[in-house]
Amino acid sequence: MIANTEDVWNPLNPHGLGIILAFWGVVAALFLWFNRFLVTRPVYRNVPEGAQVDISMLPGGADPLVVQVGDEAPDLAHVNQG
Amino acid sequence: MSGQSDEFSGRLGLIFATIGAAIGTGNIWRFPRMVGANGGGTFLIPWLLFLFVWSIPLVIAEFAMGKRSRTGTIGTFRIFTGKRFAWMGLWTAWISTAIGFYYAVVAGWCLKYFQLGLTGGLTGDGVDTVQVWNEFLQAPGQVIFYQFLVVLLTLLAISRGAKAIEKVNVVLMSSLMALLFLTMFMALSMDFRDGTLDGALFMFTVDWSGLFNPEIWINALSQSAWSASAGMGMAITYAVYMRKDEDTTLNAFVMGLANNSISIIAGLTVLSAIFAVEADPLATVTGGSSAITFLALPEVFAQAPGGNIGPFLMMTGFFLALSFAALTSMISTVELCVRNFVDHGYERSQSVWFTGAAIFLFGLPSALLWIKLDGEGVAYPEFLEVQDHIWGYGLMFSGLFIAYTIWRYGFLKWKAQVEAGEAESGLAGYLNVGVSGFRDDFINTGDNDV
Repeated sequence: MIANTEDVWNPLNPHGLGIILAFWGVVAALFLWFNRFLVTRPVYRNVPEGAQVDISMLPGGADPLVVQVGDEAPDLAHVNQG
Repeated sequence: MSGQSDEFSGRLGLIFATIGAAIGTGNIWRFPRMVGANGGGTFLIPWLLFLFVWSIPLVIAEFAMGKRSRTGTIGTFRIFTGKRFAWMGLWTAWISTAIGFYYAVVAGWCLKYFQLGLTGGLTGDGVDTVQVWNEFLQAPGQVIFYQFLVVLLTLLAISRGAKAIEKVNVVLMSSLMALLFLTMFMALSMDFRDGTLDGALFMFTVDWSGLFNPEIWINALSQSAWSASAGMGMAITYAVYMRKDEDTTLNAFVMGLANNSISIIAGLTVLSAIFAVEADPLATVTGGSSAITFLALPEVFAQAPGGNIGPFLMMTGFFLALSFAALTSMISTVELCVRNFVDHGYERSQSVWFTGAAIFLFGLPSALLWIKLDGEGVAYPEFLEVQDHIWGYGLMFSGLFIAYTIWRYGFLKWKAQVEAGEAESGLAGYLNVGVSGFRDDFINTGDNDV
């Protein structure tokens, strides 16, 4: 379809809208699928000295894998104890 | 994870870094073309309006999110929107990095033209700018060399973290402003040789009927958002390094206004020079993306007064300023990606070199593939242009994700208050609490937005 369509990214082409929606659909699906791997990794917040503020009221603020630089994430601490 | 937190040393560093990220080839290369193609001063009205209703609010939101989360885009969406939405941060990071793939090639072109200006390759009798451009674009070795140089310079600038980024941006942006002012005054003097300032007049003359043309509004919105890097995740990334006492609103306004000021200076420079020399200046200005910068401007600058010195100063000054603008934008693009790796426990040095290698390798197709000739025999990189088109669409979603995050935060806050009996249910309750929820908690909080 792509090979036979002139100016493939023009939504006004006969297949243009289909191509654009298919492309972005696949891209979006890939990102959604990848989310499961992202959230299993700890995130280390870059909090300068004296700039500590509460994030627990935020939708993801209570995530135990969100820690500050210099701290250990819970699951890594568990591995170290073992 | 061991290591220490990193921050900018002060407001100046933050402002220069964010201005450096925002000011890119879009200000110097795209803005004059947009002004020319959209009715001169008429275009400036919606462009200025969108700065205040679109770009600055988005940058304020990004600053507020990054300053509170203290992580790059992935962590910010994970914390602010919820675990299920971390992918939105990855999307934002990916789109910016994908833009970086081909932007390094474009920045390389700017460096090459600075080198040509320095060595006299664009001035003198018998110089055919189309031939110079075609030979360069069709010589893969040269394009790749300058692309590599841009990636290397970028990596050197960011490898030592926030304070190094800050220093590099202060030097490059100060130099860029000095160079642009120099070339602007030279261009104005060129234009004034016939006793009028046609270019400046065109740029500031408003045709009110033109404001009924929807295309002008669409172009103004895209120019404002692109130029200020609104919704790209850049402001989230640099907010990670903000000191606690920085005011997000003030910094967003300074950044937005500085960005537009540089665009105006670049517009005056390019339009005045072209109006001074070209018989049909509007046809030149609107003659294609690459045409104005790499074909028309060298011809125009070559006719600057002052013997050999004038053209030399204009050529090198303009292309060095363009290279600096491109480099500072590359720095923020790469840092956006690197910050996400560092947030997830990778060493900074590894992240910098890994990202640099990826940007270089994935940028190679844009440097090499589908170099074609248009109807007038001018070379153009079709693969690069397709990339620009695709990831430009993706960027719109990044901005929408930020808007969604703000809406969701307010909605959840309102719902929690309804359940606790502290807010009314229904639309009136939502309008009272939900709509302003994000602003009330993170912007203009009276304590410098901690």
